[in-house]
Amino acid sequence: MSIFALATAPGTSGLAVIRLSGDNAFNIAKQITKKKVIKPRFAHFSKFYDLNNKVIDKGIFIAFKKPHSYTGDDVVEFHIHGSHAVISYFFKTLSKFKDCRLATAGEFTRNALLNKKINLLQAESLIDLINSETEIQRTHALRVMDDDTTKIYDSLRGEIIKILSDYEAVIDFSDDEVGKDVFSHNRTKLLKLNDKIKGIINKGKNYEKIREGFKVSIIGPANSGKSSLINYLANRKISIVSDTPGTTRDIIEASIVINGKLIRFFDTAGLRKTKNKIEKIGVSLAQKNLSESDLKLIIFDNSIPIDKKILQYYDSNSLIILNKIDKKKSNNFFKNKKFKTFKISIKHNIGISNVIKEISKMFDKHFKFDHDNIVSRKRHQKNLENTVFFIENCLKKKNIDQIDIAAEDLRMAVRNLGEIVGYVNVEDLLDRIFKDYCIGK
Amino acid sequence: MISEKKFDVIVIGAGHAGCEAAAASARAGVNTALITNSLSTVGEMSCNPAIGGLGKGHLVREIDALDGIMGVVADQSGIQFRLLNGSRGHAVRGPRTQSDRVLYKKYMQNMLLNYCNLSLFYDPVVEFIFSKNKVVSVLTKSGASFSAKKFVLTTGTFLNGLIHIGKKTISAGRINEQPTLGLSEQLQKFNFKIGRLKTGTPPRLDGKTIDYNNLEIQEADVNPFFFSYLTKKINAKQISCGITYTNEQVHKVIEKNLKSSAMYSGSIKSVGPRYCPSIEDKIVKFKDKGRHQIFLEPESLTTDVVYPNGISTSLPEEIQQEILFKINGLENVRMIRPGYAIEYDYVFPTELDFTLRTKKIENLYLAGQINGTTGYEEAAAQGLVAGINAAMSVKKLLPLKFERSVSYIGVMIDDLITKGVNEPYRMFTSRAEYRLSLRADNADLRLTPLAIKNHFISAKRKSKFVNKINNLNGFKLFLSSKFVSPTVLKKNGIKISQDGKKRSLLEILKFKDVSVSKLKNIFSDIPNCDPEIEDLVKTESHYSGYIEQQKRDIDVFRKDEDLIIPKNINYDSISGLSNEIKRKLKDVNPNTFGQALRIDGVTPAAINILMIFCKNKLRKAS
Repeated sequence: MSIFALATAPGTSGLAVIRLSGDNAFNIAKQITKKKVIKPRFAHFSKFYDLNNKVIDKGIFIAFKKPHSYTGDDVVEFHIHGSHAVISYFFKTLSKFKDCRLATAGEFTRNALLNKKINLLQAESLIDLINSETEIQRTHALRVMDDDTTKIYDSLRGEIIKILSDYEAVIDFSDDEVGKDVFSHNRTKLLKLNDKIKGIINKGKNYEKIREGFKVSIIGPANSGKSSLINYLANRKISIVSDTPGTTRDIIEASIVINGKLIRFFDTAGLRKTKNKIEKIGVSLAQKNLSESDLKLIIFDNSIPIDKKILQYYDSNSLIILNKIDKKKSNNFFKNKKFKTFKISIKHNIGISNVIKEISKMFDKHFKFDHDNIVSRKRHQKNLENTVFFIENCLKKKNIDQIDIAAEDLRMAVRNLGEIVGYVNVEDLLDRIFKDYCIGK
Repeated sequence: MISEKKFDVIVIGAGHAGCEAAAASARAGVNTALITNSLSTVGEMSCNPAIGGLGKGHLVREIDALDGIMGVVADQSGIQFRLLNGSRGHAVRGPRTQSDRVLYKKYMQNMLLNYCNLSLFYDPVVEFIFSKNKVVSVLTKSGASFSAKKFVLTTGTFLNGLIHIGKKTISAGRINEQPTLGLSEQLQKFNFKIGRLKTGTPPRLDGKTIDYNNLEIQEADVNPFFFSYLTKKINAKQISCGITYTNEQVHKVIEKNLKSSAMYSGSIKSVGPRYCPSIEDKIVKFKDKGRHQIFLEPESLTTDVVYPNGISTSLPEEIQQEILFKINGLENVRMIRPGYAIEYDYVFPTELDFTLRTKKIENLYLAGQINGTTGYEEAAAQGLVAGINAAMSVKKLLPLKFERSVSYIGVMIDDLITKGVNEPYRMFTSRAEYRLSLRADNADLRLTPLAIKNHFISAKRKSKFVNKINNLNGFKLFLSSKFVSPTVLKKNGIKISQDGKKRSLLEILKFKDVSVSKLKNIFSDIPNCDPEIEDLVKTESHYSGYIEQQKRDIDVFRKDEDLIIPKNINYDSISGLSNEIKRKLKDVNPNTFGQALRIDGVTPAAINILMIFCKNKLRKAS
């Protein structure tokens, strides 16, 4: 059986790549190209024919002999012109071959996983790589996908298994002369391992920021210009702006990339007391969003007095923005040296670039990127934390009488580490992962 | 025309697997025959005169919980009971006893000769008679013919057995016993995968010529832990063992003569057990160790034979004697017979299903060493599984599946049929992922209900068990319904956080330093109970946190085990499976998705594809 799919994005383009993978990929390619011999890893230029010998298109094709291919099976990649008509006719032709069909979502990668070309960790990072929007996301996904990362987890797991096997030996060979000092003998090793794992957790603390972007909540009194700011940042109207206070009730989001970092701005309902039921929900949504944000932009109308209640939200992760400085009246709040303020006019595009620079600077300060970070998922974080928990539980056992439960702790630690790379209990994980896939990737 | 005897189930071979298989089948109420070479070798302990140990002791307790015979016989013939890991947690304690070899055989033979529904015959089986892929009967050396509905084959090391002593080789099943030839060839015709394994045994010594004066002595436990739930007191006199060690001089002699050891001269190519290495292996592989321990275990109260545990060897006879003379305490020892290595055929256990029935011959079951295992206990446990299931099948009842989440027996069967063996398979506690739940002390709670439900248990044992359960539940109910405050506990010397929260006595038992007797001292109204039950309740409380965790794991495991893979799947037609994985799935032909996942090299992704395939197939069918 062979499977095929578009490997490039759908839509009209100069080139489109169709990937064909499976036992009879080479034979199908021979028939389509009328080449008698196909040299692997060589860019052939050829016409492509349908089953009635009519030319479909001409272009390049490259063949990869198993196991040296993406999926680990025989693979042929056809580079054809990216028009809808060419692609769909090519598809039609391929489906006419015996045992050849369109791939299901994620099937190529699944086969790669199956042929042990990649492991679970790598499959996950591949999704991240494909979906990456920023430079930092991209390099990070690549780093996690790297074989070395798997090796780090494997070697940690291997080291714990080694210690566990010492414990098991004491249990299963109690009559032989095996070390009764197994706890003290392995204590330093376990402590070191634990520190190593904690180090990985620490370095990975900001992994979510890389994957999901930094959250910036824009708050302020009603009608201070929150929606205008987000529209400006997004360069298009995504939030309705009006002079009526309480216009924004839902949370509106705009993402921009600054210096390779993904930053997500959230426009929230103006924080004010209201009797309107819907606006009330909006205000409570705004407060929830606030608690999850990495940075607050507190925006005030410079021409009217400051709402002291809103000022209470100010903390070290906030910037105060005074909007509408084009208006003649000023509340002179910028003179208050206790607060860091930025004067802007969204209407006249004054001072906004300074705000953006400051945001970028603050992130660099608060969220140091560790390029050694190998944690990219919440589940990795959770598995690592569990591992630490079980190792520490194990270390609490000092009396050799407790070897049975100490060994149990280590077994759980091994299992948690194994789950990161995908050794055990991964069926449901796989389901979840493959839901993230799109055809042909 | 020779007369033909008819049975429901015929068991061939009367080693540990055969005896247990025959008893199990007979106990289940079908007409059973046990055919073996001679009565004198029924229940023979061919190697170490001991039963039990770590992991192995668990198996014997489980056999006993299923009303098997090994535990009872081992107790009757036990001459040195010792609970291994006795000071450690219950989950890793392994009951063991040295058994008097003569008594063991005697009690085993008595037991079988008086077993209901069971007949014994002493006549070597020489040939199977097949009709298509069924055995219809077996022919014996004397020309008799026996027919049956089901056959259990337990030939141990006898299939093409070959003994090595130095460069000398002897075709034999055990020393001085004829091997079984020809049956292996007959099985091969059905394309069974057959491999070759090796095991060894040490020389035997004359106990009268051992000088124990300078040796460490190991005594039996004062309070013996028995194998059988029925045993109440010691039957045979208890003895002690001597402990001695090899030394540098001994190692030198062995190194010098390695080339003449059968195992190192290249004349043995098969794989031996890593965990029961020959003394040659120990010296080659653990060069740094200056000495190796040897237990001097008397084989019987009525003979002087001593089994030197720890120096199994296949060196030439004269070298064995030379080595012995250099060992402390053995300076004047007389070697009764030399140690040897034995090579034998085994059938790849992946040829079997979970009842130990072969997939290729529909009414043939295999049990014991023939399946690539080692050890009396492993053999007996398999015998029980095969014997019960042969009988269930005769009665046209559903087969009994032993789950790895419930018993060591289940762990072993699943390992064998799913993973196969690369070396002789021995049970360890570390093989059981739910070790804290599968303990020697609760074997009856885990398994006896199965024996009751399927009616292969004696009335005596059944009523004893039901009684125990009632007492246990009553005791637990009392403890869980009596609440005390932390102040009261503190007054009585039990350290506990003074949070004012009242706790039940059962909860308080979870604390490490609180025992049932301590509670009894404080609360005089706690009813008196069998110490066994008090111990059980304390153990359950002790492990409760871990057991909760394991219960959740077991639930996940069960979910996978409940997902049955439809029969007659054509693995070749599934796209996306690599050829290697297709081959493995075809070899094992797993019953459930859980089992498929445990096959070495089968990835979760492959299981995923298999699931999608099966779902589609079911959808199409409906």
